[in-house]
Formats: sequence, structure tokens, C-alpha cells
Amino acid sequence: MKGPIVYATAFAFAIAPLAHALDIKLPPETSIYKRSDLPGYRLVQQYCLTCHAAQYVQFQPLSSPRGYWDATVKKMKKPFGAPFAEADIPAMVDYLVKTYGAEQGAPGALSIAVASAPSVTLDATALLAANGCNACHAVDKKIVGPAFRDVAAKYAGKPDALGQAKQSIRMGGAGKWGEVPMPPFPQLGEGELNALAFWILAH
Amino acid sequence: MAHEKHPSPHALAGRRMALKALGALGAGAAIAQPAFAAIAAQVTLPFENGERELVAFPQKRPLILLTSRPPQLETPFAIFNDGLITPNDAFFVRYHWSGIPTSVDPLTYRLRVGGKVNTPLELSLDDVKRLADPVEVIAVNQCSGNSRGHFTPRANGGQLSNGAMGNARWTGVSLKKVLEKAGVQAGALQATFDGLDRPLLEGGPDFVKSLNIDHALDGEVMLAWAMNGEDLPMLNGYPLRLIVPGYYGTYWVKHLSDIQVIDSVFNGFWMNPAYRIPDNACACVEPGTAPAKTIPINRFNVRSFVTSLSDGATVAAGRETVVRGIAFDGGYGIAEVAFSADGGGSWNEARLGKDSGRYSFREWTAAFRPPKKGSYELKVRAVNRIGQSQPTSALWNPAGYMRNVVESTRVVAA
Repeated sequence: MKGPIVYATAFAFAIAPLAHALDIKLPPETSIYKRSDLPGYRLVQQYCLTCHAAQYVQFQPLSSPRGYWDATVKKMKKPFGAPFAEADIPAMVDYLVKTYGAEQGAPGALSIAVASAPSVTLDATALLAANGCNACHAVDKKIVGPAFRDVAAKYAGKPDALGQAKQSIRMGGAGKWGEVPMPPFPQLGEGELNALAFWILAH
Repeated sequence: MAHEKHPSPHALAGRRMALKALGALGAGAAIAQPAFAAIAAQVTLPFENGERELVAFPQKRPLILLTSRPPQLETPFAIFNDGLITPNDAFFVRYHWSGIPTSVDPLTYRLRVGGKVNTPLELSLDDVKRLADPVEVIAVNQCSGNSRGHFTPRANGGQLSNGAMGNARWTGVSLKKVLEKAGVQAGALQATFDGLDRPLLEGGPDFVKSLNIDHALDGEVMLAWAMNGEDLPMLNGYPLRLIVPGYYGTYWVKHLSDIQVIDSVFNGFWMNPAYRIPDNACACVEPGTAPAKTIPINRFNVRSFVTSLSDGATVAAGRETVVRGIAFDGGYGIAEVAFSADGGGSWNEARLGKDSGRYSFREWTAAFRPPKKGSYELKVRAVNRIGQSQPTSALWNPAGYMRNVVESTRVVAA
């Protein structure tokens, strides 16, 4: 008589998990395209980021020639369906090969990119210095504003920690940490906000 | 930053990887860091531009992040020394489109079977599980582009080291039983397989793969709902994926939702021009050239690795070290593994471990007694039951597929 009972129990266990949907939440995406004044930079941000993360570009061999980037951008348009104009292709290819491929450091590319975008590498410590953050913040102690370590602890484990931290930097505010307001930093771009927020949250 | 399931620094420092703790990173590196809470560490894969983060995705321990969107994750190589079965939370992940399912309700999920069949089917997961007696196979899944980052000259595409492979016990129903229930009509040539993942843009070619009908009906291809005794992780194809033993992972369609029997050869983008190899015995061409004729990628070639020692490891001079590793092929089974401790000058037969079936990783061990202090180049080469082996110098093809050169591991006896 044991047989059927054991079977029924096993049967119930086998079916029970079906009652629940499986849901996952992917971690936030944070890789970004290197800033540049090359006209393709804006196009790449606008179009490539629609469908895939920047790592697809960032991790290609540094030797990747112009022909590779040209063929790949064209593949993204047809057959993949990316909605940029034919006329945009040369600029996108030019940015990609000069920023990630075989023409990195080519005279034209480098001077343009560096001259007008000193934070091209988005070094967070340089951004902290350039924007005067260190006047009010330190890593491990409160000065005027909270220690970065305390900021990191406050956001730790929150689902949109990065977004909230970026928003706080961009908008400034008062009341969360005391009555002395933090000024807004609206001039910071998305990449700079990302770099700063990551750096702070990693402490 | 420590993660509960984070492998020890020693384990992470596995094969040819340099491990750096997050704290050792320069601030400038922070821009490429994914969600800070998920960052475990950074590794450098042994090729140019090989810096990667280890990131924990849902149902996964920290794995090597190739791309965030869609998720593409590589298994740190040291994990292959933990056992012949690759744990579900360490198994590699590869997608083609960003429109991946993040929520699947097993009660409303349906698998459709249609096309040139007598009775089109719409099966619930429960229907699939009750359709016939469950079958099991231990089989390796390997990405076509596994090890692409090691190509010389470099090949564009996902720049992977050797961790886009894994070995698991798959439980499911034979595809043959499903197709027989639908009734394949005369004149059928192929079956196509589509999953719940979708391109984000109108007009982008959906990821659909095909198999010849006699392959689909061979009784070995299966629809699996379990991996190592548990539900498939979402990122490995929950609730059901195609298992094509011995074939590259591109055919192992995840979140399988639609099977169509057709009376033609399917020519969708992901069968042609994507995932093609040179139509010759070595699947190779002169580096830098294009093949005259191509065919769809198909069976794995033969591979073998040392797993117990990583590049740069130290062993005791004058004492015996048992070197361990894995070998596998496209399903004929491993017949023999040879081990060399002098860069291929002389070879000794390694001892094969338990046979878990011809689609599984096969363990091998070999005694290594370095006579004196100094450096040694360990090499391993497997042969399968039909005599296929591995080349001593790497073969090349434009897409960076099917690397299977005899691997070298350099160690120091001290």
C-alpha cells in the first residue's frame, strides 16, 4: 500500500512549483560609450544603445579595422533594422574605429576628442576635483556633507541605487543629510554622473 | 563586496586569469563597473583588451561579464576543476537579442508545434512533462565562439576565453515523441525552433534555428525542463530548451515556444549567413581569408584542458603531482587522452575517469613528477573513438568558431 502514497506525494511536489511564475530582475547596465566630439559619438549613443550594451563595442580587439566597423554598422541597419539614416553611417564608423578600433590615437581623432573632452577617460577622482566635491565631502568622514562611505551605506542594496545617486548629484538638495543644501550639478553629462555615482557607491 | 557564493580568491585566480580585488582598481576604471552591489571582482582574460568584471546576475554566482544587455556571461575556468557537472549558477549565458523574457508563468506558457504535421499541438509545460517517459542525458553545451578571444589573428565577435561551455544533466522529453504526437507529414525536410526571446526592433531577424528532420527524429534531441535536477535557470532557457547533444549551443534554443515542420531548408539569418563554417574537413581557412563555400556549424570537435593547474602555478620539484583535466567531443566519445610535461616532446597516456556517456565531459588524470626546479610546459591532447584529435597549431576561420588547438599550461617546479 505504500507505493501509491509515495507516488501521490511525489506527484504533488512535482506539480507544486508550477503555481509560481519565475521572475528575474537584471542588474542595472552601466557601461557607456567614451565621450568624444566626433560627430558619430552622439549617433552611437542614440542608436546603438537602443538595442545593446556598449560592451559589444568596447571589448572588440583594439586592432579592429575600419572595414570591420563599417560592415558591422551596416549589418545593424540591414538586416537588424536599426533606424539610422544611410548618411549617418560614415560618422558612426569614424567614431567607432577612432575610439575603439585600429585608428585609436590617429592624429585627427585624438586631438578632437581630448581637446574638448578632458574627462574622456571619466576618471572619477578627477571629476571630484574638477567639480569641487572635495570641498564638502571626504571618503571616511563628514565635512560639510556626508562621508562618501556613509552615502554608499545608505544606498546599499537599494534596487535603483545608481539612478538615485545620479539624481542626487544632478539635482542637489537638502534635508536628507542635514540642513546645509548641496548645489545641483546640471552641467554633468550622463557618463560623468555614472562615473561619480559608481565611485561613490563603491566605497 | 564579498559575495556569499563568491569563489575564494585562490579559486578565481584560475587558469590564466589575474584577479584584482575591486579596491585595487583605479578610480578611472569605475566607469565600466556594473551595478556596484553586484560587482565581485575583476579578471583579466589572457588576450589584449581582456579586462572583465565578475557580476552576479539572477540565479547566478558572479560570472565573467561579456555584455549586460542582452546578458552574456562566461564561466570562470577554475570552476571546471570543481567537478564534471557545471553548477546551474555557474553555467554560461549567451543571447542574441535584448528582448529576453524576465518573467515566465509556467501555467500560461505554451509550446506550439505546427507546419507539416497532421495535428498541430499547443502544449502546456505540464502536457510536455506528461507526453512520454522523461529521458536524461549528461551533455556538454558549448558556444560556437568559445575561446574566440585566443584567435590569432583576432576574430571579431564575442571575445570569450575558454569558459563558454558547461556540462549538465538534462531532463526532458525526446523531441521525437513530441513530433510523433503531432505526426510529421511526408516530404518534411527540417524543423525550426523559436523561443520567447525577440529582437527589440521591427524587422530584426528573430533568433530561429533549424535541424534536418532526421536529426530532429533521432531520439537524442530533446526538450529539457530540468538541468542538474532543478528547473532551468531563466537565463539558461526556463521553462524549456532544446538539447542537441554534441552540437554547438546555437542550436540549443532557450525558452522554446514554437516548433514548425517545413518541407524546405530554412534560410533565416541565424542559419545563413550567421553561424556558418568553411565547408572543408578542418572548418578552417588561411588566416585573414574568406572561405569559398560554407555550411551551418554543427558538431563539436575534440577538446581537452588541464583544470587542476592554471598558467603560472607552482608545483613541488621532485615530488609527484596528479594533474587533472577534462576532455570531450561531439558525441563519439573520448577514447584516449595523452599528457606531455615537456611541451609536446614526449607523451604519456593519461588515465580516464568514469564514463558518464559520450556527450559528457570525461575526466582524465596524469602523474607529473618534475625532476628538477624550473619551468615546464604541460600539454594535453585527446582522441575520440573515430580517431579525431586536436591540432598542434591553431586552425583559423573568420567567425572565430571551433577553436580546439592542443592547449598549453606553463607551470613552475620549485
